[in-house]
Amino acid sequence: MTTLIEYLQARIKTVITVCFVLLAVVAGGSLLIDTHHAHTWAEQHVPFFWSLFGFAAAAVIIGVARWFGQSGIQAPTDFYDRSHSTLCEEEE
Amino acid sequence: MDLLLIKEGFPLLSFLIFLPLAGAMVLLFFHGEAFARLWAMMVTSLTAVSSLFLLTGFDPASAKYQFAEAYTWIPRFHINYIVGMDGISILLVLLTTFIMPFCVLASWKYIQQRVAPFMFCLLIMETSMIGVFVALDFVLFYIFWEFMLIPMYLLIAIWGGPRKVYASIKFFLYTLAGSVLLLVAIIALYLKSGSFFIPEMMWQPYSLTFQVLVFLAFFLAFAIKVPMFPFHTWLPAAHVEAPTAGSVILASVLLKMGTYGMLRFCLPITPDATMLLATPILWLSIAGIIYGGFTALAQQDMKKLIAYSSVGHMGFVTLGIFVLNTRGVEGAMLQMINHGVTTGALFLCVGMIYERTHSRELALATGVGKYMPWFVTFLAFFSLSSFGFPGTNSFIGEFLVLAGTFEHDIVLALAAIPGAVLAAAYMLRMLQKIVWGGTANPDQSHLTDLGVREIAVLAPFLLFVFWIGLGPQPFIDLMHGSVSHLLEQFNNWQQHQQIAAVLWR
Amino acid sequence: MTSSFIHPSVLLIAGALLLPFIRGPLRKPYLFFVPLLALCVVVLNTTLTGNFGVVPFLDWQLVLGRVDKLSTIFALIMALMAVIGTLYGLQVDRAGEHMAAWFYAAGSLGAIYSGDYLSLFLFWEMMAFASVFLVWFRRGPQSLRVGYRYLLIHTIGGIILLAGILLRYQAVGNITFDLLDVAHPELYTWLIMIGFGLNAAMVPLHSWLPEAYSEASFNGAVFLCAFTTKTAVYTLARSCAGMDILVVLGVIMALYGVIYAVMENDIRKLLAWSIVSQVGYMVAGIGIGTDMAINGAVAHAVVHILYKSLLFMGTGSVLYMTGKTKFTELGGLYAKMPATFFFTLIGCLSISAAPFFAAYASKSMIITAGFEQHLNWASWLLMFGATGTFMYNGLKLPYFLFFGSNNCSKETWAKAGDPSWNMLIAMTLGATLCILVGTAPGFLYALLPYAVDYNPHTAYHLLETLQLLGFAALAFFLLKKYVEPVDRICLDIDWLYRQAGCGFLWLIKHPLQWCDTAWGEAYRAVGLSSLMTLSRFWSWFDWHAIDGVVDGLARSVRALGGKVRVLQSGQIQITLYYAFSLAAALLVTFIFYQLL
Repeated sequence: MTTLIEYLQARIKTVITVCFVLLAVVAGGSLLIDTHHAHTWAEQHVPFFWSLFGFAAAAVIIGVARWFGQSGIQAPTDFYDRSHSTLCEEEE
Repeated sequence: MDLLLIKEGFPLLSFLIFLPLAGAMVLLFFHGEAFARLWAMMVTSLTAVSSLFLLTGFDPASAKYQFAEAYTWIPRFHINYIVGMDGISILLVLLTTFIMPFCVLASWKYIQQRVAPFMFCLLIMETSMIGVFVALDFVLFYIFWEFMLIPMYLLIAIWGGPRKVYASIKFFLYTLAGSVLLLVAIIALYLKSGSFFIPEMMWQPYSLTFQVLVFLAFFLAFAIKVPMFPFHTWLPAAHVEAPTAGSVILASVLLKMGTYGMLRFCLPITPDATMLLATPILWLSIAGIIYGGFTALAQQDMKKLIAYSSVGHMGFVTLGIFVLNTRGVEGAMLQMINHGVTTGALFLCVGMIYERTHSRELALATGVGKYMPWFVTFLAFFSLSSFGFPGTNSFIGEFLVLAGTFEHDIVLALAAIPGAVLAAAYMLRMLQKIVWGGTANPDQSHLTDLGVREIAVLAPFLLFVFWIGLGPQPFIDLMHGSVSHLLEQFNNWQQHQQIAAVLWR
Repeated sequence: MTSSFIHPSVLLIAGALLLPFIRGPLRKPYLFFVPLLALCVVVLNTTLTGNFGVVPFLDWQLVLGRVDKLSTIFALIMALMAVIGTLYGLQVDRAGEHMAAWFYAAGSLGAIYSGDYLSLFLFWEMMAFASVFLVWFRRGPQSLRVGYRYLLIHTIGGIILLAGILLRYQAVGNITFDLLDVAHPELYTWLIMIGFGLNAAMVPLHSWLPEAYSEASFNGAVFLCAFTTKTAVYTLARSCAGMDILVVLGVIMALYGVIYAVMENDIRKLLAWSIVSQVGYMVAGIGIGTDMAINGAVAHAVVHILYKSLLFMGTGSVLYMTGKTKFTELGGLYAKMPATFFFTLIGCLSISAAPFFAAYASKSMIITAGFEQHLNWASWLLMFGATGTFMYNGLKLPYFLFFGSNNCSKETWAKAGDPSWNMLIAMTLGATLCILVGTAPGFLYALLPYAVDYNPHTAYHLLETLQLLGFAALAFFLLKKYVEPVDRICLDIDWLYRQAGCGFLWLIKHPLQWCDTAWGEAYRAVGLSSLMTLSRFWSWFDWHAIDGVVDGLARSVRALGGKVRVLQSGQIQITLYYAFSLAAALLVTFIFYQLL
């Protein structure tokens, strides 16, 4: 396993190119597939629907998580110990 | 005579009475120390096992005196050898026979000098104690009653503590003084009725004055024995100075002879007087309960503390007897057994501490919990039982007594409650000091925990504490027949007499 | 052989109680065979249907063995989990850990098989009290506190559940554990749902989960991740199927978990948030309530157990070997832990619903059910969440843990390596099952409670998934630097609980404590000392007053005797003198009396 990974890592440029090709194939395949079983209008009529959905969803999630974290949810690891020692003496 | 259920075949009761006596006679000839201990152990164990046959042959439904035997003895004075047992005495007899082997076991290491005479005294006492509980002839009863004074006196005077002379003489004279009046009352009854047969003297229409005098005479003798406040002062002295076995016998059995006497004699023979004087006696019992509680709380000597606690506990017993209803009397009887078991066990525990620290001072026995875990476990359970913790035997007894008292008079019951609280206070105080102590405990690291012999002595007591506490029905069933018969007759009597008894209410 | 019902919990409990006595070389086989036996028993029970183990208790009938398709499938996966989990932790020496795990599993199986609320509650509490030990056995600096918080929250949940059960009993009159009247929810319906929901980590009652599961021991977490939450899912499926609010709650859970997982730095806490998220799918499915939705929820629960345990086993191996759990202290581990990487990767692909891996067969069932019920908004959001799942679990976790920048310290790097044989075998089992379920879900579908009218292996589904995963991966790699793990903790609703806890503690410490101390002082100063003074007085009275009379009488008698003794002088003439005087006095008195 390790050797396989190192083999791939040595040829990282090739791996990336292959991945892009695969993505193109998948996106192309989405145009060819039979969509009339899909449940919603969007799926049936928008080309590359799931590709766009996937990309957009991922980007939005990353953005929201980052914003959320930066707005104070991500706190230093000793946050509770510090705030506790001022408010109530935590007994060890 | 129709009240007796004569036992055909093997005379079990006489066997039980005289076997320890025979065993004691043997000790007159062979006085080796080891032999004396083993022989006494064997004899008492044999008596205990034989007394089990009383259980198997007993019919709880019948109110007659069972296993009865009747022989003429001194026909000129109508004195006969009549013994019999009913629901009231069976438990007491069993208590006696079963406590004795444990007393012998507890004295195994404790008594080092004059072992054979000691065992001799113990065996004589067993004879007389069993005899007291089953005698149905007054003279026989009196003989057995007085018979145990001398061995008890010797037990305290020879093998006792520092003030043994004072304590033993006090015990002897006090009890004897009461018994003298008992003799006078017996003679008076003989003159009135012409025989000494006890059941024949019950429920007779004596005049009120006669009844009151006889009652007072009986009552004084028994009240000293119980002991009731204010006739109790011999008890702390005797208990403190007596050896462990002596204290156990004194607390477990001798005290019960007093209350047994009240139930067997005062009630049926002088019922009018009983009813007349019940209320002051009840308040005297309350006084005993509370007084015993207070004085126990102030003690520094463990044995004295338990002695005063006995005063309190027996107060509950007399309270139960004189409320004169089923619950009260059954509670009182059960409490007699409970007290025998629990206080006997507590004295055994104190004896074990004494063997190790050679002192009865509470201050010198503090903080032993760390070094004697088995001991404090047993002590804790017996202490819980002593103040009537639910689940233990005393809870059932006290509960029944209080229930009976409530039926009779609410004020009385409420007055008894502080006594229960005080009991908890002094018991827990003692327990806390012994197990944990404080910051200034003496160094107890040299103490050894209980050995196998000592655990074997205490374990059966613990068994009974929980057995009676969690499943008291078999014990109550044994006594129920006789108690309800007694109270039934009492009620019949009440209805047939016009009594100006509402003097004190 | 017509077999009757054997309750597997009995076997596990008996096995746990006997465990401390099995030592030495017998222990490992024993550890393996007891849960295996329980699994065999569960398999045997699958042939039965109906109520077994009916025990009369006071006024009620307790049903300890209700066997039907819903309970069977859950029992099977739980028993299997017990086997795999015990195998994974086989090298743990302390019997207590295994005992706790087996009691936990026993509680879960008992809850699944129970047909009445009372026995359910009993097993529910058994689960809570056994599982807290799995947190405490980590023995880290925080473990004690985290465990207590866990226990506290679960006890509160248990109380809420009990309140609901009792109210329901009062209203309905029985304790049978079946579908509640979700169309007309009463107070008790809500309480029961909240009680179950707390164990299912519904937002906002979820904060115990990430905290406790990341603090658990390396093998304890494998048990924890499966039993509590999925038993809660079972109970929700049994009693609250079709409750509309569950759809909303489920979707919120799914998304909430995703966001926090993306931010998270601790690898096991990330997986814990993932549990919140995935259980959200199950809860939403239960809320939708149709046959396919329930099927989907149940199927998702089963596969979730498989892949989540596999993931916890993988990360647990990292913890076991290196002692570290943070991305910022790990990274680049593929070189030293290739087998672990392989198995973890399978788990990651499974959770992401990659084709032919586990969740491929289940997640889409729920979403399809949502679309069929015209709850489009829910299904869209769940798909959105699914993308997120792939992001943090299929991409972030393997990338930053096994690749990425190597943040390992020298000692961490030295310690890293593939774990022992039993752990590897357990992971192999888990991985195999994940792939099996994903490629041939037929045997899973056969066990589902309702008839399955769904086929995941359509070309459409395949391409849909491939597109989603492919382009999400693209976005991930482009925006990688925004997802870099940082050494921070994420604050959550538990901040509120802790503040409340602090406030409560302050209240107790200051005003209440002052009152108590003042009362104690009064008791001691006034009550006790007066009691003791009174006691000492009575003791004095006893000796000086009563005994004074008694002993005084004795003393005076003795003194009198002493005086009289002196009269005997030994000289006969004085004695004769006294005797004759006395006789004369008597004679004179007698004569006078006769005369008068």
